[in-house]
Amino acid sequence: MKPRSENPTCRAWLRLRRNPAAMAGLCFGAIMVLAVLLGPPVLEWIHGDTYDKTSAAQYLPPSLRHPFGTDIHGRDLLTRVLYGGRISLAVGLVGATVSMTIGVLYGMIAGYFGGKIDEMMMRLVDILYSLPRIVFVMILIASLTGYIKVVLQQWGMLDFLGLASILLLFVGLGIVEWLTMARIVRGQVLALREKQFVLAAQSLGAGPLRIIFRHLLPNLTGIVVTYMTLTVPVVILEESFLSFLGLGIQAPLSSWGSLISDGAAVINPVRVYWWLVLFPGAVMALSLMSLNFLGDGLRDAFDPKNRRS
Amino acid sequence: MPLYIAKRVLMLVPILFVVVSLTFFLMRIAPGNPFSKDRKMPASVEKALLAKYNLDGTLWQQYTAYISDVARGDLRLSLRYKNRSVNEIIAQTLPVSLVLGALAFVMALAAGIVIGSLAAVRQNSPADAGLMFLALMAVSIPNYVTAPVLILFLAVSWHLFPIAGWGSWDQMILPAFCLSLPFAASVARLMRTSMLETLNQDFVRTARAKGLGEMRVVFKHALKVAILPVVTYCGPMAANILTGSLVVEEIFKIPGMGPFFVNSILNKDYFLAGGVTIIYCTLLVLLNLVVDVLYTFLDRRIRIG
Repeated sequence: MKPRSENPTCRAWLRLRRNPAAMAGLCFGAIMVLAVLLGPPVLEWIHGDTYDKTSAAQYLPPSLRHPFGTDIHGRDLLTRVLYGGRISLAVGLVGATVSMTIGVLYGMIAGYFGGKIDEMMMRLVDILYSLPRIVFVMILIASLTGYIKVVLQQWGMLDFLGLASILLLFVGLGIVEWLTMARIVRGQVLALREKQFVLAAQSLGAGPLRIIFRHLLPNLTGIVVTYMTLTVPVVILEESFLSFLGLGIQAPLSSWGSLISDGAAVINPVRVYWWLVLFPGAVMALSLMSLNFLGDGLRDAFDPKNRRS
Repeated sequence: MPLYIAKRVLMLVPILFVVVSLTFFLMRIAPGNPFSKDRKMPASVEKALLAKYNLDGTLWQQYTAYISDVARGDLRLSLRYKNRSVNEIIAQTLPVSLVLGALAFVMALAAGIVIGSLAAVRQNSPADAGLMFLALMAVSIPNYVTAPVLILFLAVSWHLFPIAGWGSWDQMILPAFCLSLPFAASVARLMRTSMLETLNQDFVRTARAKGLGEMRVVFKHALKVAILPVVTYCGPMAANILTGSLVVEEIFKIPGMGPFFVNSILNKDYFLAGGVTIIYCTLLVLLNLVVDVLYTFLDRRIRIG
């Protein structure tokens, strides 16, 4: 992109490109997405490994045939890590999208209407901030999983339990992480609604809905994209937290959290299966790091304070 | 100020009421009762069991009875740990979790504040870049990865620490470290940003002009102002340390509330899950109150009342 445009998104992109950490994060993220999408079919084509194909080759240390080693059921860990990456990344993306939608709507309504409404809505956010929200999600997910299991059993569709539990995670995690987004969007909207273009729109007879969606929303793009990038790793962490405790992804499906949990479960002083913890942990940590680097870079790039650079 | 504190403490009542109700009904979405998992039992036995634990009657009757019990401070009998009351389980396990959590909390604050300030003083130096890279790494690695990895290397292979357990000091170091690491990193990042902003302010220039040494300027003058964002972060951090301790206690086999809570959710131990949730929320709401009060003492521009 040539530096011809003066539009803020373009300038932000130029600044982002000059940030090596953020670009490294972007590249690694892209590679990760490709690996997660293309890896499993390629590995299946070469070796015939799938995420749930068991074999007698139990607890093999890393080798050329199994670069990440094998687990208790002789399954290829690399395949499982890549396959789990699909679920972890999908949960992160969808969860962040759900929380973004809630947070942006909530923040815009509070900020635009202001006054009493704003005070009440933000008081609720303060209270929710101080509560262990994930605890309620744990209870919600445990209960709903039990409920869904019974319903699916009645319909004879128990095979869909795995899919249902993923959908549950999407929603469950989406509804916990919207608070930060709501606060930030509200702050922005409070500042924006005093601007002249809002007054102009109002005097032309635009209703609140039109102003919110047509005039305010486009001005929030930068900040929303930034905080969404920073929400994805948080949601992935929470998914893996739930899966670690046995509340998220159920076997034989895998996510990074459930793989780490499986690895941690076989820690014992006699035989050390270090690869079962180290590889899923490292892949997850690297992915989260790259997302955080990218998010930090975006925040700096969109920050009006360093407009001059 | 006393009025403000009293108001906030009173707010605890409606908050806890909503929390108790929410937990109660959320747990009941799942079909079946806590005893239906066991071997098929005669209907009369099941009925007697349900009566013993006050689980008979309509859902509404059960709810009102439970609420009035909780209001009197009786968190009822656990449904899984036979003949142990929830109050008793909490009394035994809460101190352990509190010690672990407090230790991690203090470690995260101390390490984060020092590292963040030093990084800010040496802005753009290799030390700053290195420390902040490490901090971002620590933020991205959850404690259920650091904990098993550190156990594998420090405890299993090199025998520097005990593998698990609780009681002596050397058993506390590793879990508290694992629990505090991501939060120490977050505090350091916050501290660095805020210290950088503060160091550009006029009063810092005045302090320097008086001829004070750099360390004195940073830790005596600037820190008082720069620490404010960290103080606001204390509330959310406490909530996150609490959820983090669920897994850390599990991994290090620490007899705290965490494992009991996780099991209570998985086993439909309604009253244990409810009781622990009440304790968690009370702790956090009170801690947030302390933080808010502390904030007014640190930042004299803010008045509450």
